[in-house]
Amino acid sequence: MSSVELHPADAIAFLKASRRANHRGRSAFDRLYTIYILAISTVVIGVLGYGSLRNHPFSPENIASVNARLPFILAAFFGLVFIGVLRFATWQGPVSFSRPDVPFLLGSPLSRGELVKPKLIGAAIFGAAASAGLGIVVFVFLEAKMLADAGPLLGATLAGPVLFGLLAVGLSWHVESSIRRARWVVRWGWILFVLAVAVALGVRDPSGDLASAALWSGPWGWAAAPIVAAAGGSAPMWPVTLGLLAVSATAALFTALRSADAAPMEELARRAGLRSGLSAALYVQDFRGLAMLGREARRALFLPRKRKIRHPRRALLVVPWRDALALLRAPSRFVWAAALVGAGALVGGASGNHPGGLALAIVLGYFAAARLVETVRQEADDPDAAGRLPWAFGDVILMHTLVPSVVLAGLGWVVIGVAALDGVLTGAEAGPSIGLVALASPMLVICAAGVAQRGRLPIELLFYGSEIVILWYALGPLLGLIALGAPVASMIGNFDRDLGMSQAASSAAFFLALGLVLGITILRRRRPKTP
Amino acid sequence: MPKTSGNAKQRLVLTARGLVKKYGDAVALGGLDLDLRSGECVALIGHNGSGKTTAMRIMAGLMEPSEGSVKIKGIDIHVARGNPITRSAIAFAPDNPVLYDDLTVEEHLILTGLAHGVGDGLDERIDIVLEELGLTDRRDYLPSQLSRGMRQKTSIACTLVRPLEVLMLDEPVVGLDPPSQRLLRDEISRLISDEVAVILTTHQIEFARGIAAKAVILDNGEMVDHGAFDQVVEGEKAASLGLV
Repeated sequence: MSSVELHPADAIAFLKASRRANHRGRSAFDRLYTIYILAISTVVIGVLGYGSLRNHPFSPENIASVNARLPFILAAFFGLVFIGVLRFATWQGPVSFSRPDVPFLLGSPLSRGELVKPKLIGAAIFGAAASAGLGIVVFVFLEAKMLADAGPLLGATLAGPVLFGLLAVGLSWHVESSIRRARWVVRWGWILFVLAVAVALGVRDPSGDLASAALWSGPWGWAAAPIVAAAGGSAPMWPVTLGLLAVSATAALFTALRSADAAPMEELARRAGLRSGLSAALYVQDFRGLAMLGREARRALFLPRKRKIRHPRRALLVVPWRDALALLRAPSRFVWAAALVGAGALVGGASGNHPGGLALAIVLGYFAAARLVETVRQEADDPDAAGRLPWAFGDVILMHTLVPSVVLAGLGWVVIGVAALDGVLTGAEAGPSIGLVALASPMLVICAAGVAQRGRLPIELLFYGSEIVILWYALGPLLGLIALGAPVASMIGNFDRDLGMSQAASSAAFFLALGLVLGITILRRRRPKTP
Repeated sequence: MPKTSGNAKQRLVLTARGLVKKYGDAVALGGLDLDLRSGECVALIGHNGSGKTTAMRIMAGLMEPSEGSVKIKGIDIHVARGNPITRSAIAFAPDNPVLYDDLTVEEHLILTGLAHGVGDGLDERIDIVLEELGLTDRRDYLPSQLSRGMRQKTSIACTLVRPLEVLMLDEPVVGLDPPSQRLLRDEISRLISDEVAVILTTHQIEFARGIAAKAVILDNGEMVDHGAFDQVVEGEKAASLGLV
């Protein structure tokens, strides 16, 4: 056996050739056919869509209004994409290896930098191409609706997003290659999220100064500035922002390529394991599996805090104790629930009793409840666990609704308190509202628990088509709408008949109590899934 | 009999000092020191969760230690990450074999050989390794066509087809039938005779007996006993932990 100079390209070329030879999947013709169909569909839909938009351009007043809001819309959008890409890099990122790549390639003496660089360059090309595609969609919309000059607009909608995409790929490698930076992004990334939301809120009252601040607030604004200028808006310094973006993207990519060998083996191996789970979960549309992978990834960065609550002495309190522990150890669930309740209250308040707005508020409330019933999902993951308790499965599930109901009601009462302090609710209205929240919260939690105890999407449903799968996932929000729809409708009907709050609330309370009895009865009859 | 113990002719190839791995408050490995010389075999023995695999993965460079260092030929493998000298030296076979699902047994060996710069003689080397591990008639099988034991043997074969100085085998006999265990023992003995240093983890003391010169007992991450193999496995600690 003699040794020769190591060439990663040789090993990778052999790997690719062997895998291609053994691959029993689609032929090259099938792949080309798919690309052809996608391309032709895109062109046809693009031409039709463009024609349709072009036939109904904005009026000059609308164009002025959109131009005033465009800096906020685009900067907020790019900001959300930016934090999304960086968050993705905390558990996957632009460079990923398969599980066997770890022992066979990364564990070999081949240069790790040489193994990483082609993947990083591929990710940069993909990022640039995806951004260009996005830019073209923006171009088509703005050119057709705002009748902007096509040449400069096309240049701006390509240059800004493409440079932004390259910057995002470069920075995301820096996150991927350092656990410290990944932790930093997870810990502080929410600030960027809040900033993006704050920028988006600027749409409500657009002013020149605020727009300028949005465009200078970071790379997300720099990428938006040339588009705003080309669409006819005010961004006089756009060449500077574009230059800043170009310099940042070049620096990020250059330093990323220079540090291509910096990622620790342990981290690349962990991501390879997550990638294999991710592919499997996506293949069977298992969103629960995806969520669990996300949690596993977070736990690798931050160990869960082992906060404790003294265990109860009474058996009946053991399930609520377990639920309280679960919430205490995953406080993000509570934060999400609070945010969703707050968003629901804002949407409901702003709806002016419009059915669509109220329905959205109910759905947001349902999602808040769904965030709090994780332990029910765990019972569904392991039906035998409930079998070790001295109660029927349905009763265990019902017990699991106690803590989430109290927490959700508490959040609802906080909203009522804020509304009362703000003068939105009078004292006479606040009292009945507290009672209604006390009934509506367990109702939503019971709906969420009933849906959660079904477990993961049965694989056989995938054979019945996407409509059935969508319906399976939509059942929860639909149940929430059905459960709270009647009480809300009765309240609005009573308000329309000029009845007082107490009378409107009592009829709604009746419907809620009826729904609760029905929900509890159904939940208690649930049986664990048999494998 | 290849069983050897340290002597002047044997080179020190791996030095582990104060290896600690912590997950928050939990200590998976609480301080392991190990010297490994060429032509020497050390068995890491302990119950489930004793820290054997953690120690092995740290020494293989697959896991970062919380404290301590591992040096191969004087190079700290966790400081000089991805150093080709250290990675050429270490061959690691995990307890749970990870293989490409679309590569045959032979192609796994070719890939390993190419990645480790094996030039002329690779084909002959593959034939020999396949023969030694009883995989010749499975050379064109994909992993999905192999039993757990055969996949384990393929993973081990990949470590043998390339030049190496330190062989690390994590629970190598899991899934292997007695004849395959004997083949593996013979192969390890041959490697030890060829001055390869071997570290293996196992629950099966009898497998290690005869090939391992030294033993280290780990319990709850702590190194509770170490020394000459026979002395350690017949010692008080091994008995009190119920390892023998």
